[in-house]
Amino acid sequence: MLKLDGLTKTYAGQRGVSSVSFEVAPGEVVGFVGPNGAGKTTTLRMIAGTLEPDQGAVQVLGQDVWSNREAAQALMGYLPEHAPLYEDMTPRTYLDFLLSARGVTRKQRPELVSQAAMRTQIADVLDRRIEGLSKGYRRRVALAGALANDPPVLILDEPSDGLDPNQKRVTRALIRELSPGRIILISTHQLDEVVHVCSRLILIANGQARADQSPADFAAQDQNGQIDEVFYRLTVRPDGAAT
Amino acid sequence: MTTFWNSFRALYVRELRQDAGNPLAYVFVASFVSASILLAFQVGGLFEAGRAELVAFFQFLPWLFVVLMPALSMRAWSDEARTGTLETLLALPVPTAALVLAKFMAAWTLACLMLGLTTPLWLGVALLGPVDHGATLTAYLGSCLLAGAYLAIGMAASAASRSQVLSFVIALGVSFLATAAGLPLVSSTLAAFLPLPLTETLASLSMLDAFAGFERGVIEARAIVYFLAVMALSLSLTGLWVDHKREGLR
Repeated sequence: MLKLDGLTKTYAGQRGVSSVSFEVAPGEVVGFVGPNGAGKTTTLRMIAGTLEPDQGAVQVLGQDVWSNREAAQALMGYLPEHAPLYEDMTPRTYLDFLLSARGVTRKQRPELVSQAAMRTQIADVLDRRIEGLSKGYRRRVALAGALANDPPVLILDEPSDGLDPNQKRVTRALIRELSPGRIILISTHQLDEVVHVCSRLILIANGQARADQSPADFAAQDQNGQIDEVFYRLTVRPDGAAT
Repeated sequence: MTTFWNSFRALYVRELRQDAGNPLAYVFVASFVSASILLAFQVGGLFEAGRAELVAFFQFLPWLFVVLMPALSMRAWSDEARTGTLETLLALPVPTAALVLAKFMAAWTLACLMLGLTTPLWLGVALLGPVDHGATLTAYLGSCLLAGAYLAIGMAASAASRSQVLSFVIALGVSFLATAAGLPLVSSTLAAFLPLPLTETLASLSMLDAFAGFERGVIEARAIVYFLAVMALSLSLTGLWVDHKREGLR
């Protein structure tokens, strides 16, 4: 179980997140949606252990992220926003480095690198320098980094950002393939992605969770079943300002 | 401990490979070797002294390090923060100490290799006359410790800022003060404003003062403790700053 309890973060003069709580069970793929600046990335960072909350707690499969950070992080694969990568490395050396830092033995690493490369379809560029790769490949290299050690929990910030429609299709299929028995939390702007991939949707706006239901139930709030209409209604006030 | 050393080794090797593949690292090494030898001959009068010793070489090292070590360390953390890869590192199940130590040890290894490239000067002088090899080796050992101390200060400055330039300037300033405090000119100037015991204490905390014994070929426990303490303090500060980024990484 991934359990968030009253997560709160404030930045000096800037909106953070306020008392966000939810639970995700193994096998669930949760779409974490909201407008820009709503607090999605802040929340994901607090789960991944790269940003300390002011209040609240996160538990990953029974491990508290902030009192037992390394044990909790060992259970997670994390794709950060903008998919930062070491430009001077090749995807192979990058993935090998991440696995090595996680304590995976030299003998096991080549197999795990190949597996992650196959899953994310980057096998053809494994030995090219990352700085020369297209945005789509770079995003997939970062995704391969998140799932290389086959973690039971995946935290993915905009996994299909910058991918073309075919690559998006492959990535969504991969997430569905990985979902049995895993906890997957995806931050995204793309509501169609939530419909295609997620079993549950959590909407965050202005730092607060506003909805937590299945994508179908969420869309059903509009008489025509338009998910983007419901999103608009819940995130924009009648005067046009963000809620 | 397995996780600590695995993580340490992975990051240490990555940092060294990054340096090995970076043409600027070679320019940097070449600059250090040429500048140190040039200073020894042109300013230190290595030949004119008429003695088979390397004092003229070692006496300029602290000043060379004041400029070069901040340049070597400035990108260590600030570049990770600028490019966003710091978040990738912070998301790994790795103790902060392993990250800090790995980056420092990789930079220190490069600095010691750089010093090693000046040993032909030692061999050259040995061909001209009898050299005290023990004293020279001691001076090299002291130089490695001195480089480590300056690098550790540079690492702390790099962790404190996202800007490489600012990191360089901070490290340069702190390193300069830590070195210049031992100059007689600075001590006598400070003595006019500060009580004598305080002036003497400040002078005794200078890098120059700690390095002086090694320059003469004397291994002083006090100097070793001093350099290790500077490294420990600076790296602890680095660790605190890296952990602090978890409180407000944006």
